[in-house]
Amino acid sequence: MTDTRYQSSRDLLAQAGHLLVEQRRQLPEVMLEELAELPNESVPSLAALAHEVRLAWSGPAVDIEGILSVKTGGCAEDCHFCSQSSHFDTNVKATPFLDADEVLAAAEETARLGAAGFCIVLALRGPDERTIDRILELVPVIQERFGLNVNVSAGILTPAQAARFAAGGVHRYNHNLETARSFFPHVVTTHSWQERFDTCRLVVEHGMQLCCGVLLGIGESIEQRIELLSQLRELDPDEVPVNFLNPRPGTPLGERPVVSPLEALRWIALFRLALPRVILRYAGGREIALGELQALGLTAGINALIIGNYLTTLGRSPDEDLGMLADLEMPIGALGEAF
Amino acid sequence: MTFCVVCGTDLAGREVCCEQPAYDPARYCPKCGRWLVVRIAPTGHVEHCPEHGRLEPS
Repeated sequence: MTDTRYQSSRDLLAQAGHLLVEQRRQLPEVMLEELAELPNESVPSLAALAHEVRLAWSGPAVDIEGILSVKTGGCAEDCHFCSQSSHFDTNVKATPFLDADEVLAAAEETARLGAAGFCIVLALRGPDERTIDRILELVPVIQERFGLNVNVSAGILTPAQAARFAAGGVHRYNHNLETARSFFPHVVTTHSWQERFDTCRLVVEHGMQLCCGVLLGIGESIEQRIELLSQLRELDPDEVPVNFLNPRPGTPLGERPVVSPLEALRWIALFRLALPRVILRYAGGREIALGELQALGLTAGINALIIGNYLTTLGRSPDEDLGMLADLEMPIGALGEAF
Repeated sequence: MTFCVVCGTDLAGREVCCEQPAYDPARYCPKCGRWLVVRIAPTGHVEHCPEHGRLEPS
């Protein structure tokens, strides 16, 4: 790397820092494109800036959430990365809606870990009325018994369904864009990116917080990641979970390579710089993408994490994550408004 | 173990079949090869065989 190039990287980072930290303004898309092209040697500096931005906009607290798949597999959609799709021959066995006791036990475990939230997740295109009834029976019990914000992920919504969830006390509704509009048809054909975007809009319109996640490493280009950032900015979600592809046997993406640690850190930092006020949550695939470097994500813009296991795969032990936060001297705390 | 916990194939005397992906629970019963019902919660997971019941943690 030449001195000139090094100087230009430093200048670019200084400009970005001035806009984000001193002026508290968002970066223009063209600057995000330039930051995405920084050489690998500059990723630690990019991460340091992202950490500074996170502290300036959100403080040092880390938000913890537990998630539970209450209805697993058998999904009619063909998301090419998902082992719960009925279109693919995977080794995940479909199971019906869990008993209320099982859900409450999982919520109680989550609360004991110091989590602020608990997310009820269902593998389906969208909920029917009976499914909404069952979810909404659980929401107030979990809130009152365990003091958790209850979040829900139940697929594509109609306006009436969004209104029901909002009225029923759902704190935050999760609906992922996953990837850029231009790439989405390559990985999902049974519904459109626009349907996902519209559901996200409905969530906000009905007064729930929006959790809108992404999945990196499914074949999208750098330009499409920048496009995705722009589309997320349009939605202005409260939370963005960052998932890295964990290639699932039997799915069309089952043989894809895993995102490298340095690439993962670069994009965590870029998501923070593009979305300075958002709750940026470590989600699925972090264990395999970052391995021993997971603590670095928390000094590169991450300020929230899913603790413990995921929907169909396992995570690190909660003790490892809680130990990591203690080592980093980052306090656990709820981000976003409480219920 | 007689059956592969990843694909359910009879090991037929072999010690291994598929490599179990990291952070994956068993999907098939090691005793009979039946598909397991897997319940994953934030702090634990349980695999249940319709023939042999709950699998002991390995």
